Amino acid sequence: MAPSGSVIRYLITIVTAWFGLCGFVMPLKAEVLPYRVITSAAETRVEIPYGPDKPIYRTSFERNPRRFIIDIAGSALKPAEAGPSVLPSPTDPRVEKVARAWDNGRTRYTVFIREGVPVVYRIEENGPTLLIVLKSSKPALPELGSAPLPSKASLQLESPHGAELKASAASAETAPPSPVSLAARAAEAPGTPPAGAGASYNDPPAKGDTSQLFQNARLRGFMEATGAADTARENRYEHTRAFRNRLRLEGKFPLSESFSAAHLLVSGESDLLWFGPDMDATDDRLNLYEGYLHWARGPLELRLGKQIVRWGKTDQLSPLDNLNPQDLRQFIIPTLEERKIPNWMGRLRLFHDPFSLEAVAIPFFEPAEVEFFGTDWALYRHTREVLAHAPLPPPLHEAFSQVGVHRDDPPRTLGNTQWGLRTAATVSGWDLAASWLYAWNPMPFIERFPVIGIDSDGSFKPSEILAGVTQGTFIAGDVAVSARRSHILGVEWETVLGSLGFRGETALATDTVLLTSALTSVTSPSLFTVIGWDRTWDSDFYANVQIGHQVLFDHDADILYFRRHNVSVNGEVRKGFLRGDWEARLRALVMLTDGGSFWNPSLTYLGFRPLSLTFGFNLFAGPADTFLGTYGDNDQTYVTVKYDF
Amino acid sequence: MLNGAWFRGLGLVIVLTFWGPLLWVLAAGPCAAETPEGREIAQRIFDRDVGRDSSVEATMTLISAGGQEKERRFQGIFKTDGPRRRALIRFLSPADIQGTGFLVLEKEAGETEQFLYLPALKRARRIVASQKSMSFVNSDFTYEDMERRPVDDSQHRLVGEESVNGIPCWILESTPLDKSPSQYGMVRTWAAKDCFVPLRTHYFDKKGRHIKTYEVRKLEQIQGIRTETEVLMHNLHDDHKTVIKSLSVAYNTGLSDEAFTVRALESD
Repeated sequence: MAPSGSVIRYLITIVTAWFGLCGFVMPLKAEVLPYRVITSAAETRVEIPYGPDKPIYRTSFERNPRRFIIDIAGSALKPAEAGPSVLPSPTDPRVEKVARAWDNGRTRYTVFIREGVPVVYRIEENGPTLLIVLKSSKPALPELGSAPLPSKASLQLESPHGAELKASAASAETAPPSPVSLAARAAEAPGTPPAGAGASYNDPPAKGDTSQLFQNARLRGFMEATGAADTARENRYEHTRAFRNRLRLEGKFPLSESFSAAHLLVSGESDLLWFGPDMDATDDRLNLYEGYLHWARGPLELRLGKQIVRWGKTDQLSPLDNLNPQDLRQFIIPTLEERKIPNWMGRLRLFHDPFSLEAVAIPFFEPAEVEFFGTDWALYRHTREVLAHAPLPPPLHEAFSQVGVHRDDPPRTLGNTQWGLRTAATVSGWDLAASWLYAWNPMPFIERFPVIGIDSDGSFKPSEILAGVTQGTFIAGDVAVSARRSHILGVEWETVLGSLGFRGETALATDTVLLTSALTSVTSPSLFTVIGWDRTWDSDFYANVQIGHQVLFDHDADILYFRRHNVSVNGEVRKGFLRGDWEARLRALVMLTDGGSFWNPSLTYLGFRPLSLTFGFNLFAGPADTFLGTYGDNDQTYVTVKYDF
Repeated sequence: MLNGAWFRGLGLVIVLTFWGPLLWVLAAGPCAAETPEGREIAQRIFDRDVGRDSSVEATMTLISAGGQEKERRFQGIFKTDGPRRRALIRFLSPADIQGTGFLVLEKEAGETEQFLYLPALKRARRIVASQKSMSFVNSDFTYEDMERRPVDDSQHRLVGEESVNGIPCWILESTPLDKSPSQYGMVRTWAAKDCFVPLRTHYFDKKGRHIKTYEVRKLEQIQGIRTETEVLMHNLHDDHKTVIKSLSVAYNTGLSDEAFTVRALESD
């Protein structure tokens, strides 16, 4: 008795499979079906040769049993015998078997996938042959997808109600559609925050396999270079040029099924800051930027290590944002986010919708990055250089040139640990929070300045420095710096009122550090409130305006830059042009009570994303003895090139 | 260089793509056997099956008149709970916006809450719902294009029948009523007769000028739900085009409510 067509196909398939294992491929008989299945240790592939018309095909993943289905319509050829066939797949470890069915011109391949094996598919075209390849990989999303219908826009669609095949191997159509989902993955790890589905993209599929976890690490970073030049040179001590180059690399390594459940984040930063060209100053460093372990189970979340934690709601001027010190080597030219310095801390959060409770502990004091002498942005600007070149007796020259800074930071003891608590809730569309922080003020508290009796107006102009010194008495020694501890109580809020975003925060601090005319520090209790609104218009115009009010309860006339009541306006306006290729922006801070101001207009070209090119100005205005006006000599123009990767 | 405005409505475009507003997804159910009225067609389109939840990864390509292309890639999750719909979208590329997230929470009273997460900011930010006629993500879609406009906010008229690429379609003209202002004077939709999938839409301004054309380029049936996996919006004013392609789609994956929270948004 002659063998039937299905038996022939079966035998041919077996031979094809074995030859595929050996690196050879033998097609199925063309008069039976023009398609062929190739299995190997690397992949399982269906090859679909076609003539003038590309076949209509569709793919999908299904569960129970786990399988990948390929439907191909439009074949002009018929097999010798219709009906299901099973194609063994002895070589692909991902696949149990492959079933094929044919009915009325439609062919269905059902690839039965072993449980727990992550697979993805891809579609390729090799001349007049369509390749549908199933192989191992990490699925960026649940492994359910579909191949496209014919790429022609002609929509050669089958009737959606007639699209199902009547005869199919393993009765695939009857299985309930239940794709592998991120939620299902979360279910495999009880307590894992289900946020992973969309929130933690690129979640790794493997569990317990270290090499696989590292393969699924997320790497990113940026390189940013900024060159700046002063618009004018006001005195011989100024730095008229500046350059900063930052390179940051970040690796996020999953330690569980999803990033949101547990991960390790490590980032390093190379930061070169140069001021010059005369009496140039260079600060070149290579640091661990952030490095922490994140762990979450159910309502609990713990993060330990060097990190940035943001409290507060307002932008750029945020009285409650005190958990991380700031890098003030360029004053406020970098944005608040760019100025933040990660520090070592532990943060525990408990979520119970709509409430949350957060506790932080910061074991080590980290001061703000402040230069004291030798740059245009230093606390005492170029005082040391001015005095070293002043018409003073030679011993004083030498003494002034050797003035340094002696820090007396809090020792690393348990008693010096900084603590904070914060609770947040959402009530009727209002995001509310209250916090308490018992922390060391990162701003330097100047215990002693080497010239006693000096009466500075805070402008630090060379003439003012010389005049001040002649009034005082020089004492040998360095500038003595320590830190003051402060309680900070705060409330914050954010909501939407019509077309406006509305947010604000207020902080009551026991020890705000302030500089005096004697160039030493005092502290004062203060109440600092910032309220802001923002809005976006249809024309892609955005405006953000904030009003700040700070009251110093123990104000003294000797305090530089700040009055008892200080009112400010800050914010930004920006507009995109040419579909976002260009962006014009102006950010500003204006101290209404003393007339000082900072203006930062800029124009950015984004047409080569992720490369951006920004040109702008940093302008300071106002009386020289004001907080912002004192930097009036530092107006500059700049160019920034940033590349994200 | 990303701002809140950039994202306002992005969630909605994803909603558009995978939950299917007026234009994008058919209403599941038995095919119409007789000639329906205009309103009935609109209602059938509106009452579509979009699954209880869905997950998607997709690209959005902006194509200038000169052929220059810019691509963005994102992932999104979506959930329908009665009248409430929720979405969380996360950008994967380009690198300067990687990790940026957007959370949309529809409330039962028709109110929508939106939150934006910028990795550099280290916190989610509550933002104002979008302006309707504003372009989203600098594409050719506006926020209004993304909305599920209630059927009774427009007057619908069946004006004819025509085949689109060989598929018989009803031609529906929808004119916004004064009670629900629109940037458009009229919208003409070609909806497949057998399943009410809008395959083509012409947008007209208030002066009657044809300003934009929407087309479905690829339509797939995924887990029994017809899903437009490649669509095109062509702005006739400047010959700019936007193409959205789905890379993968999954329906009814059992996403929990916790996946649509500010906490989830902040877990970059």
